[in-house]
Amino acid sequence: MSVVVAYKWAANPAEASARADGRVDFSRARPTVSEDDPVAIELGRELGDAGGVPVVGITAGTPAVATPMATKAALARGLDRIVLATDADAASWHATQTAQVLAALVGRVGDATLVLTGSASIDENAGVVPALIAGFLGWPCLLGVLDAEATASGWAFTLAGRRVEIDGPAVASVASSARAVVAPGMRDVLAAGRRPVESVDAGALGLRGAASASAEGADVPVVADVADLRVVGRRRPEARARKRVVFSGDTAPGELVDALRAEGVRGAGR
Amino acid sequence: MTWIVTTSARYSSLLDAGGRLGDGVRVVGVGEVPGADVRIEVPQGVPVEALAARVATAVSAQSGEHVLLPDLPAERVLAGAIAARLGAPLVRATKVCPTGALVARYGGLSLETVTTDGVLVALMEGGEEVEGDPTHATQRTDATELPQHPPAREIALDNEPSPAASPDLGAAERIVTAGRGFRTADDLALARSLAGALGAELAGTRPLTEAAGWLPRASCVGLSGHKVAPALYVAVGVSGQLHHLAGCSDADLLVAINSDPDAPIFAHADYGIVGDLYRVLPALTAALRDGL
Repeated sequence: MSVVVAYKWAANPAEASARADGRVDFSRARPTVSEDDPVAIELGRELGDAGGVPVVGITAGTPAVATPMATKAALARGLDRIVLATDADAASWHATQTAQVLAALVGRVGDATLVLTGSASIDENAGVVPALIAGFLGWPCLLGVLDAEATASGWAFTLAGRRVEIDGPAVASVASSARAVVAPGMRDVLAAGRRPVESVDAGALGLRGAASASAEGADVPVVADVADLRVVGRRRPEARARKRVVFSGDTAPGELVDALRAEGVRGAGR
Repeated sequence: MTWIVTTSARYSSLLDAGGRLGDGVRVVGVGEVPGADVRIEVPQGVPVEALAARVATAVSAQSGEHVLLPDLPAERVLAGAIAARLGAPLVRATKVCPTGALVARYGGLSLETVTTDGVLVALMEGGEEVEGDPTHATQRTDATELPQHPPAREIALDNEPSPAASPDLGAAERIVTAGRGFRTADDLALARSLAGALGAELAGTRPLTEAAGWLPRASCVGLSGHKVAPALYVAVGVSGQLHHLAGCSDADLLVAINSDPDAPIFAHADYGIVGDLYRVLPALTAALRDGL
């Protein structure tokens, strides 16, 4: 049995800029383990320790995800080992393609009963990959998990407003408030360098076409080729022209009310 | 044909989008959903998420068709099962067109028009409630023809603000959004008073709705939550990070209140007040009650 944590090596778009043609320049943005993923690793570590099972990180992307800097950053958060897939074209994958590869990696780990993710990646922030991984695995998925514990038949999850028990394996995205995380120390980073990383070529997972069912390590019920998503237009959003009138001091509230009235804003019920 | 899959009655915008796409709309309701063509029963005490694979089998969309879902947590899970089963791209779309969708990428830095030769599954703002008999559907699924869901159970917990307090932000004309400038959950009373004076809904940024849990998750504005376009949007104690601005940049009139004069939100505001919200809000609320 293993607990798997799917994480992303990604850059923050707040450090990037959009060119006039809409292409986003990430050259000045420094990739990290995506902001919410350490929370998932922290919960995974707790569950792994409680159950006496390993915690395995999985990720997929360009060869950048396999660099020692990237893998050590994730391992130092508390993973026992990493299984990752790379592809030179991974930057153009859409979420379904990424999730299909991650699901295949879950199959490659072999004995996973739980897949955890952060709530959303810092770059795309779509929050759809955990549901897609679950879709490929045929497992149920829960989003916004605050806590989890193993049960005799599967897993029990605490979410906002409810507790859910699932018999069998599951995928869960972990709410960012689920655990407080601290930056890894030097000892964690040094230990991370000694933990194993298995890197495979995404193409070797054989997810395209009829070969998928018998592909090496791809013990995943892949039922279809995933259609491509082509970008046929791209632009930088037009910034809405704003007045940028700023008030300050004791008279500011009254001045703002005057301005709102001039804009035609009326009070509640008027 | 356009497929709509929803657990919620709030899907009017999807009906509108499906109507514009042409070729008819088929609504798959999971649970009691008004206006559903197909109804999938949700057994008592079973979480909707456990039915995802079952729901996916009810969506037999063909290449060139769209599957639309409200951008809500349960629907995201359903969308994942549907997209995986159909081998379809899954996007969070700003709008859809017959050949694809418009998608905001990277915190809204870029808008991409995307297309596919297959099915496109899109999560979108659901819109307002659709009226109708939620127990009526032209077709009910025969559970014996669908795959069995994994045994799963759910029980209610009283560990977050009441869902009944979740506002309908998609339809709100005025919104007051609270950000990290508030020091405690109790202090949100100041924002509630302001919202009351304006007749506005109260929303929150992701740190307040998800990380702190001071407001319902359904009241989150930003990339992680709702993309809103009210006539008036008042951001209080909100710094103006990219992920939040992506959710409110379509407001007709944007007002910011923040103690930091360099907060990015001011560059995106029509009017602002630089000041301590704990002093500004009581004075502003009183002035609004007297002056508007």
